[in-house]
Amino acid sequence: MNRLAILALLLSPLPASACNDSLLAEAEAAFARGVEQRSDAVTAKASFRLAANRYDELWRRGHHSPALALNRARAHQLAGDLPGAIAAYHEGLTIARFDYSLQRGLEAARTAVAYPHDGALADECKPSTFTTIRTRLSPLEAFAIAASLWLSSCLLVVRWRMTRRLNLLFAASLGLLALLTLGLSWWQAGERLHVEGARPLVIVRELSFLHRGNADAYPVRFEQKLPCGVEARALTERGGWVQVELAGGAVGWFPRHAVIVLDERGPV
Amino acid sequence: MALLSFIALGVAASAQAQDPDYHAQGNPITATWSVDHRELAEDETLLATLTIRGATNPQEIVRPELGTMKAFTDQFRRIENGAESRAGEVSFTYRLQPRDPKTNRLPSLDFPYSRPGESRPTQSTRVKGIDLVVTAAVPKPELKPPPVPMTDPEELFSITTGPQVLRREPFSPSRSTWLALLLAGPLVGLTWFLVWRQLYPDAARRAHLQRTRAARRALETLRHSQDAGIVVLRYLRERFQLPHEAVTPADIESSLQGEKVSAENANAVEEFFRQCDAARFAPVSDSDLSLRDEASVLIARLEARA
Repeated sequence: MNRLAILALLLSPLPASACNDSLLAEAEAAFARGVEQRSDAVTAKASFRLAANRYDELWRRGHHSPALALNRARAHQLAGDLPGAIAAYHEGLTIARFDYSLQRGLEAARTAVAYPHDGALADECKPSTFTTIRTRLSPLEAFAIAASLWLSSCLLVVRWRMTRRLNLLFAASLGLLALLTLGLSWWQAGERLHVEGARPLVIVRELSFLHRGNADAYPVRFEQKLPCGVEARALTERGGWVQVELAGGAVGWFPRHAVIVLDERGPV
Repeated sequence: MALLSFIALGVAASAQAQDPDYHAQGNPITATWSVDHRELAEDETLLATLTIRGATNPQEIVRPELGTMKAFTDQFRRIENGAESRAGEVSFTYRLQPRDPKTNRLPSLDFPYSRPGESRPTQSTRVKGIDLVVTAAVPKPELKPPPVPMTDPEELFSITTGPQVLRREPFSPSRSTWLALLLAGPLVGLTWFLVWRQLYPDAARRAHLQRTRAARRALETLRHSQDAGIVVLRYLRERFQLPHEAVTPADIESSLQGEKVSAENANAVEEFFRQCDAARFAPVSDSDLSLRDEASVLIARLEARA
């Protein structure tokens, strides 16, 4: 009966006017219920699925906060939807790349993906991670540091103008140099992210073969199916198939229904 | 005794005749049904036993195949043969499951047999059926598999709650914010400078003096030099082209007057060098500091009037 009620709630269309606060309250209540029911995975997963559904709706309504991204990712993961969780982590990191909880959550979710242990596929599908200044500093922190460096440099120059003491000018130069370094690193990291984000992220939703062409008739690239949660980058889309490039560089086609495609605006 | 034996030839349900296919000798044969219970649910099994007595050839009696008899298949959905015994009397057991609650009887059975010397059965015994009461099956409770606990990492079970979840995207400075910061630096510096000049005009004047190369160098040197007189002399030579042969206070004073320095300032310079001479030949004292201060003031004075 309990499960039927949850199913009915899941299927019920959400009124457009539904208050965000009540939606959030529903999500939190469902999550709390899932935690209480964790001794029975089947029942608990239904509650977590409901929570994930509500968090997704809030995300769709534009509440893009790192906390919401983390909540929905965890709800998806506990509901047994690993690809959905990975997608939620990525969406959170799009708006808060520096968020350590999201970074760690994504790494943990990736460890749950059943990557093959050996063979060509094992090398091809494990995603690579990179660290830049933007994964360490938030824009606010970077702004605060830049503002401190710039203002102190300006004040040091003024003080030098007052006293003509050369060490002040030297200190101001150091400050400006640090500011320049920070700016260049930030710009470089931004360029890298821009290049990465130019191709939508693809996450395998169903256990699928990677085909050499956009039909089942084409031969498969690997003898094994790719596990759920494998990440790739989309190259093109044609006739219900998506051409992707795996982390190792292998290119192939997935049926569109078997993958989640994310771009800057969220799941497609 | 042998005359009393009969030959059992065959068996048939009352509703369906069947050709006999075996022989035996003996007395008139009797056959009976017995059941383990007369009331049962439709999903239970009835254990029925057919017992045949009086046959002289028990080893040759063939078990009646109830599964091929319509009278039985109409009543029972499952008919399985069980154990059999041929010690003295012959018994065959059957496990029967009623077809539905309408099943109400274990059907009768005709059992034909022949007398010794007869090639075809001429006798028959009837196995009387037994009334049964079959009730509907009691619905069994659905067996649920034992619950399996979730074994995900503990940190996944905690979330952030409250209004902060609905905050918008984290702060990201726009172009205008960066532009404002770019302008703020010089503006703050300029403001500080103007305020400083307003509050400390002398310091501002000294700072202005420092902009001339000779004065700036002299003032810098004065901070560390022990001999203020030499520093000022070097400054005068550089700034006012004082001749190198002018080394006495009087010579310096007259040379400066030729360089458009006011008489007042020239006199001040002469007086300063006299004090330097006095200090140089005097016993050890703390006059160095005051001379350095005077030198600074003197340089400022000369720069201001130059």
